[in-house]
Amino acid sequence: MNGSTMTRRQFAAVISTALLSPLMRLEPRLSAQAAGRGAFLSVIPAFLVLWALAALMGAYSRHMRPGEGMAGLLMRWLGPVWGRAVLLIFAAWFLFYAGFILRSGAERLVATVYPSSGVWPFVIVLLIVCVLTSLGTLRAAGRTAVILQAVLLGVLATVLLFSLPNASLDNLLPLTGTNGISVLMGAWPMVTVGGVAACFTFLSGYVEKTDRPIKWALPRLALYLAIAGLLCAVVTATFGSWLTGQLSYPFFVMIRDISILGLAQRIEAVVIALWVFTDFILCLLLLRCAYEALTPVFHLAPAEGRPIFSMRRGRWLFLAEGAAALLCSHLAAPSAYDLLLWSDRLVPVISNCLIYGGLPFLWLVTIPKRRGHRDISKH
Amino acid sequence: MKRFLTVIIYMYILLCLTGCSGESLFAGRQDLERLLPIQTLGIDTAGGGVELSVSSGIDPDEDPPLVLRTTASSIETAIQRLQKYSPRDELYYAHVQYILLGQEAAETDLETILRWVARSPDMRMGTAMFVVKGSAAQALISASGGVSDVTEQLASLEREIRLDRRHIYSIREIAASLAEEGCALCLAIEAASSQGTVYTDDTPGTALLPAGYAVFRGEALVGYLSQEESLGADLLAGSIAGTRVTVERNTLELVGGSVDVHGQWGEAGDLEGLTIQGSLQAGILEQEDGGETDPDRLDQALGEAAGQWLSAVIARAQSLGCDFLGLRSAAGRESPGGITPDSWEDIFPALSVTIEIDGEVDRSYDLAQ
Repeated sequence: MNGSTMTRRQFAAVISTALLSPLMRLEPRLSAQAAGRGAFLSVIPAFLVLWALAALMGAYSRHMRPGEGMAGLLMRWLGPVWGRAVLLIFAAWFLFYAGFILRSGAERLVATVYPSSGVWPFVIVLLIVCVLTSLGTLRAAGRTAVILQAVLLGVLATVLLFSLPNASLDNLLPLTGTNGISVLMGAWPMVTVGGVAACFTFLSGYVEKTDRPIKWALPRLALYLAIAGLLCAVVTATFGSWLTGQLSYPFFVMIRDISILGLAQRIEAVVIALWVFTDFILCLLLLRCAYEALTPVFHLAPAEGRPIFSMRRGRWLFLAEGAAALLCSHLAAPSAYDLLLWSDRLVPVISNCLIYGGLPFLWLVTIPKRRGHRDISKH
Repeated sequence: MKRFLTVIIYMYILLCLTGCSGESLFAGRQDLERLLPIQTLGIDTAGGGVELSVSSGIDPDEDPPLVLRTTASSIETAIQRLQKYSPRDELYYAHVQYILLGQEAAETDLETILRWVARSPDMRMGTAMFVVKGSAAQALISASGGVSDVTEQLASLEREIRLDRRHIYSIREIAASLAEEGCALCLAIEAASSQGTVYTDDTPGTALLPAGYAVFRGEALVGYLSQEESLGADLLAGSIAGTRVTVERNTLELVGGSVDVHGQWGEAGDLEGLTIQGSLQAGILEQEDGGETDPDRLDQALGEAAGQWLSAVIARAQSLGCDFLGLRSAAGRESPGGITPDSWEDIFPALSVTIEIDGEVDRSYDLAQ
């Protein structure tokens, strides 16, 4: 392990912290809309889908050479023409998604705590911090994520615990037989958010290798689904499924009613401010993933191992990525109403097409290539 | 040099985010010293608009509460107008504890008010709401005279209700119940008549008294439960302890009671009726001349009275066509397929209900006979 390689623990912390951002944007609202009071049960079908995805990504990672990420692997398998085309598609998606995360994070702050403010100051400040940090090492981001993960999960657990007095089992039970299909539908947002983790295989070259990627992924997957299920259960038990589905950010609305032993109230501003760190980590990872995807396309050197403000060896691309993300955040949603449409429909559809459609498709079309390698190695 | 530059950039970003810099990013910054927390809001309708009344509560310096009232086209416009009446202090709505809803507003504007609370970054969905029989503004202003103010009175009322293990409905619960069951209960209060007036050296303050439950259906007030019906609702909710009732010329204190709701299922699995079984415990507080003394007959009379309360409130729910008692949810737990809201809407108004309540008057305190 060299000085710029992330440990598996840091990689897990980075992923779980990053996923908290889209999780709070979509959950439990969309699952409650689809599954009603049975939203918390949607973790069961979601587990099956995400397990299959973890198996696929584990299979991909077994073929990666030391120091190689998804971008290098796809270039090897698909060749220079198709490889570049596919990587350009992924890079465009990462940059667009980064812009969308900046915009939606700012919108969350304005909608919940700062109604008199505009979104652009938040977008620009967060973008500057992300670009500056992306110029540093991923290992530093990993160390930061370990601390942030502990803080955010601690806050989440505290909020859920102190919300229990306002919760009612009558809002969760009884579950009727007709909830079965809707529970399946309620898994869609959980699967969408969990699928984002597959994007981070582009950073595998900076993470220490494991021989058993699925065994490593399963406890993390269980933690993610436990958080998603608990979130759905507590919020739905507090508001009822209909009201949960109507509120833009039911989790943050729920925090307004929390009283911590009669000593502290109205702590939502602190919690919402903390959630900016999840946007920060996710946006940072997406910028780095985009860089990794573009590295073979433009024949650039690896991003790590240079002074932070060095623009040599293609590191100027981070500034260009920042500009592209800013442009995307402007194009993503001219208004808050548009943002909701993008958040609930377009972004999940594009994301799922690439992850659940694109990655299995690429796996299938590269079977002959892998067989060829195997045959050569037998001879 | 580069490290110094990085530190300067980060410091500037942090300074902007905290709102401490000269040009803060946050336009809605409020000075803590100037904030005046509003604790009780009264909402009425006024000529197609809203009449908003607010009370700040008595502060630790024993200053009298600030009570303001205005009319406007909407709640937010009224809030803006009220601020103009208070140039020294900034009215702060993040800690509102109680919302009083005038009867007329409850009949016509409930949906608007619920949506306003859900949308407002300041308001909390968990805020307790009371329906006032009459005008909320008048109740709020008249209760704010004398030695206590409206917030203190409501806090006292809340304590009393919670000690009795009864429930105060929040805006969140009302909105959720309206969405799930199409109807909801809310505590009703009324300003006391001359009997309840609190006289002091200064100005008289009117007491606010509980007045049973208000019933919402389809986001409008459709009526109030009578005293007998309210007792039935409390018994079904398992929160009747502490209530005093008169049975066979005996004043009884109800010390506990619980009921179970069971469905009567036909062979085809369809719901044919409901059975409500339970028990109610009480002790004798006072006995009039000629009052019933036989324990068995008193038990029977208490059981019959409880049955009447339940019959009355269920009949009221059926006549209104709305299940504010949560009977669908209770009976549905026994059915693997549950009872869908649509089918319940069809069968509930004509559903037969069998009630079996055992009365147990098992205590007469220090007087043995």
